[in-house]
Amino acid sequence: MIIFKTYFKIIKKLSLPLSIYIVVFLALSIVFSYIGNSNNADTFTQSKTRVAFINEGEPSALIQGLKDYLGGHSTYVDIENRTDKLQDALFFRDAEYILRIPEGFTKNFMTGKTVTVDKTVVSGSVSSIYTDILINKYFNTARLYVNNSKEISQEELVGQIKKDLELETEVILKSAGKNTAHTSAIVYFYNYMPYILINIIILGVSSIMLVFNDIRLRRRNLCSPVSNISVNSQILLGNIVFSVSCWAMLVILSLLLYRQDMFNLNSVYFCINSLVLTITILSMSFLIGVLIKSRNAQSGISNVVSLGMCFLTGVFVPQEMLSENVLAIAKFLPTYWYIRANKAIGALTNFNMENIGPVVSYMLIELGFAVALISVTLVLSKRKQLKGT
Amino acid sequence: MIVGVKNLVKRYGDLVALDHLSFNVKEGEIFGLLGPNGSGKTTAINCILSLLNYDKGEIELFDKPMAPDAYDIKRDIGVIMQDVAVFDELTVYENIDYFCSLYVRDREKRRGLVEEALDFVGLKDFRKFYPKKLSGGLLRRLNIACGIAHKPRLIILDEPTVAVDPQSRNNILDGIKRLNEDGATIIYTSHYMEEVEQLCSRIVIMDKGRVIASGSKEELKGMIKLGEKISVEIFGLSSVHINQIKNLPNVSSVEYIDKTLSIKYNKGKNNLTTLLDFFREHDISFGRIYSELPTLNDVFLEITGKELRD
Repeated sequence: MIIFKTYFKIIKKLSLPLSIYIVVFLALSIVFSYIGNSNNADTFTQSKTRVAFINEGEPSALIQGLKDYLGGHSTYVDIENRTDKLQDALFFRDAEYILRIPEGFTKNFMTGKTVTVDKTVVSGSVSSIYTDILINKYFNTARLYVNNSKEISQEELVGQIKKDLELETEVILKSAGKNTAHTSAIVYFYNYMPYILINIIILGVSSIMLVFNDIRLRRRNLCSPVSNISVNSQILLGNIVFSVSCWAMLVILSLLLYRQDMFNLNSVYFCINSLVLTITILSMSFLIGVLIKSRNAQSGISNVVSLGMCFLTGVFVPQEMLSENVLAIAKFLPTYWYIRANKAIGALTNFNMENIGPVVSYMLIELGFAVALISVTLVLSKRKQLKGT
Repeated sequence: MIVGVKNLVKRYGDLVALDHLSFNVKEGEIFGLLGPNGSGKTTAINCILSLLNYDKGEIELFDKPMAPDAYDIKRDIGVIMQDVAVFDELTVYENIDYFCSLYVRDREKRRGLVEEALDFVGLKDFRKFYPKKLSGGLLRRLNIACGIAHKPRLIILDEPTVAVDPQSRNNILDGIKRLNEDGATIIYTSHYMEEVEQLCSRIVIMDKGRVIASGSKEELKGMIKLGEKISVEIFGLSSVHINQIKNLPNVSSVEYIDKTLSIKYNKGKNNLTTLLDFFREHDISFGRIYSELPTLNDVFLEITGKELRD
């Protein structure tokens, strides 16, 4: 196993550039994770509309009931009942909804006549629609009681309305589970992982290939009693051990960063998906190792491949923000399918075959890329060897 | 017989690199392959080592047919290529250890062998140096150490002194002699006739992929008519005298250029005495006199009509 051992002696010499990549990645992934977290909420707090309430009619229990009910969902603002003041309040968003109860409203309502309230709202305001719903809800409920019980007093009516409207449906957010924010950070970490994996593995594997593919050393090895198959197998084994070690190191890093949030099935699938991508990147690095002839070319190709693939396929920019044309090209790159798989894994709550199916198929596509790249590499390598003899 | 090459033919398209090449190398000798650049020396070595496929012929090493998978044969061969083949990422010690470990698995035994090799090439003080920090001469020595550390029975050196300073060259040549004295058979290829002449007990001269002459250096020199060359510094020499010198016994050719008289003699005796007698009789004053015996270059020149370094 001398060649295998020598492999890691050479890799040791690359420890400085490799560790720089890892430190940069670590810093960026932490930053990206937190930026990502801040955009994701896992709690719900109802926003309150600022309402100016103007009652031009006589005070009544019905109107007071409306005011109380609306007050639970809105914030009342005190504005002088002058057109210019009210317009200013709307313009400067001091009030989003001006509700005006016309004169005789309660009397007309209680006698079953058709009534309307006046409203002035900020154009296109979502909160005004929400306030409309609340007002309609109040008066529709009241209308129901008035129509069916002619003798009902306003106090009784308001009591019934209050009782009815207090009923609320409890909403539990189940789709993303209770660790939504953490899962999102993990998705960011694993989405960003291809960039560092591509750089580290291409740097390591192609450096080794560059050394062992040197015609002088290759011929010198061929003169020895170690078979060519043994030499190639040891180099292959070294490449696999190196790539899997890089992957394992990044997985351990994610375990350290996200600790107990990593102990779930989603994280297991994230790890499997990144391992599959590691295999694809390894085969890509083999190809690059066969093609390049100098260290300058190596760093150039490494940057072009890593940055190109990451920008085109949604590693840096979410796929939703990429144009259709870019995505059409991205489909021919393995990281596109890796990101698709990560997205699907992040959304998984139920791990049945139906839900896992797309994830597995994305991973198989990634493996397909690996097989294709290895085949091309073997053909090129064979042609290169024949040229050498 | 350590190496047997019979009717070896290697073609690159229309170019015949080796044209029915045949020679044998006996155990314990330093065998020289001499020829100008492009004469087929390296191609022959590559075929012997099974690094190149050949079109026709037979190659036997240690009386066994050589093949790419003849690992038992390869175990006894040490190779020092024309181009230095070492890992830039490994130190001097690690490089020698790597190449030695391709042949010797036992770590303890290997440690001793690597130390011996370091000592042999005089790189003990450079063991922790990386190849890029070594001078050209030291790098060549490292290349040799990598090839000989496992103590092979047959050592093949392909132009090991190209672009090496005279001091390192002498060091390398002395080392090769010592390896031979320790029992190794050496195949040495070079286009430097002085080295081959100084080192090799038997020489094959190649040109255009063919053997044009072979034998010991004395045998090779015996094949040609040239006996010796005498050069004399003379400040003034008339054409009459030059013509008279041409008629002296054994004289083959005479040239008088830049106040130097160069005379080539066919084989014969007392040439210098006869020439000095002529100068005395004709009252010709002269400066320094040089007498040279024929070199391998003269052999090559007489056989092919061109210089070895052409």
